Amino acid sequence: MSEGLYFQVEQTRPVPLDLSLHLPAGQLMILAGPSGAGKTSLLRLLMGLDKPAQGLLRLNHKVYFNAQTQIFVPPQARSVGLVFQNYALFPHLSALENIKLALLEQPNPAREKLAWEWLEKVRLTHRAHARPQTLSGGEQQRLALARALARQPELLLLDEPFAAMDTPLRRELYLELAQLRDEYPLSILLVTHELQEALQVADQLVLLQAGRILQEGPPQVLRKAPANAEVARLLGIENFWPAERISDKHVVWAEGEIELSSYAEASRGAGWLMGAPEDLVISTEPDSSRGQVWPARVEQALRLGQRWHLRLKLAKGTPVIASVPFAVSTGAQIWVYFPPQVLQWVPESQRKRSHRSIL
Amino acid sequence: MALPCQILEMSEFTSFGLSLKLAFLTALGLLPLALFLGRFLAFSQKNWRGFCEAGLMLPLVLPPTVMGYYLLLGLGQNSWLGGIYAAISGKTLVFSFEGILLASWLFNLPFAVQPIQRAFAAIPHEIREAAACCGLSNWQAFWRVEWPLAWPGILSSLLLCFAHTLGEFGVVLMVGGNIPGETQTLSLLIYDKVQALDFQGARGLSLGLLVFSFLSLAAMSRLEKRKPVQRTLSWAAQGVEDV
Repeated sequence: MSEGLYFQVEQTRPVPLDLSLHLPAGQLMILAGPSGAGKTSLLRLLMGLDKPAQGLLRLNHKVYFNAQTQIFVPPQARSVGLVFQNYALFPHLSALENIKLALLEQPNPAREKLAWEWLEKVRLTHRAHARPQTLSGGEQQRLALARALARQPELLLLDEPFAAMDTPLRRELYLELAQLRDEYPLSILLVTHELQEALQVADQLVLLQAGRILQEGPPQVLRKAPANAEVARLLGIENFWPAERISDKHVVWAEGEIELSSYAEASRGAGWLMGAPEDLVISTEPDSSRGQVWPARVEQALRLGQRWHLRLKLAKGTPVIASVPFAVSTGAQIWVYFPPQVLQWVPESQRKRSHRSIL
Repeated sequence: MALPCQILEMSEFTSFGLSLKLAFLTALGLLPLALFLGRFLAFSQKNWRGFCEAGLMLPLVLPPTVMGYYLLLGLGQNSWLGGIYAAISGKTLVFSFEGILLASWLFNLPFAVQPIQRAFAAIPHEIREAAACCGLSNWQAFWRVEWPLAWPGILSSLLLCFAHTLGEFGVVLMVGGNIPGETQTLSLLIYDKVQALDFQGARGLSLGLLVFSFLSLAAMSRLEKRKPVQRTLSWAAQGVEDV
């Protein structure tokens, strides 16, 4: 597979950005990060709606932007499609005409035919003559997707496509994207807050904060070894505690000494201990048959669907978040068991690593 | 009840024709400039846009006499514009129909530009960006996206100019000089009639202007309501956030 997208940017205004990205052709990359991290700004730069102060942008060996040689290719001439966060469909045109307008470069009979083909691909032929305002959210999104793809771009950008979608629709869109990626020589870059499904489909995950890359890599890798507390938080790992690694299998944290599986990365020194809420074992009796249990008090118990979300405090005040399938009342005394194999260890040194050049 | 042709005297008939001609030429002649300025003011991010807007609004707040005074200076035979015109046509620009047409273009600028500016400003900027992302050149985007969304505002602008020109009094009086058959518009004729205590004659003409102006404004407000952009805005504004 060839080059795909290479992008390197440096700017302080309007939004500070300092990073480089490489998205190989045919891959799906998820760009995540808190609000204001520069995700949307990044997409706008890739599309050519804004111009960075410094940097270089190449797509499959075509230079779209080069600050040094003063090259700037406008959006019209880029092989890039963008699905706007609010879809930005043309309100005065029908669904069919919306797609046809993106096909102006084609001669008229071909335009009509191609537009129908795209409508069929996104299952909207029955709404061909409907105005966008009368379409449902999911239909609008599929139309926006078809319109962005109609010009057969080499790079597809999606800005927060899940903002107004429920879980089944999100899953469906992800499957559609995965299929598109396999069908066409297309790279996909998707911006989102919602990482749950993203983790299953993405080839690459890039976590952005304040315009810099916090961590990047395949989602499985990131999930296993989050670079720091921030990444862990973004990945939905809610528990992370400052600690000191004293041996392969032992860590000292605020509550004392705790055992770790020896699989965890074995660097000694300061770092972070992490554990997903649903992996912790909660019991109402001090049952220490499996290993050491830690007494805790339930500060808050919230029922979320079939599970109870617990905020606990250990004896020396360390906060722990747990999730259990049975009812626990606020104020109750319980015991927590931390299975060594679910605890993750992230050394302090990794926290400093932020952005590195790829090429 | 007498027939209209019996009510209208000759002077009324010519004044009526003159007013219509002036209103038509003002509205249509101003359209290209108003389109350009309105679109520019709606989309431009430039700092001096504010000064431009202030300049355009001047005719709204200046007394017609002040406008008229400067126009007399600017169009008079001693001015370069008046001089050139006199050299070409052998006529003076002031106290002529061409003179009041020029004046009319000037004092109608805010009325022509504002509805157009509002119409273009109401187009969500993502929609215009989407046009660029779909490969449309600026010109294609104008004809295929902006124009269809902004036309009610453009029509409003034409109507407003037309109605406002019919009703203009002060500047036309000062620049045109109230010459029957050349610059005596309907509103000037009404003034003359009232001065001559011909209330009978003034009544019909005033009523006519009143009804026409009301109908124009009613048509405009209908246009504002059926603006496709307006319906879209609330829909397009959903979920816009983030930088």
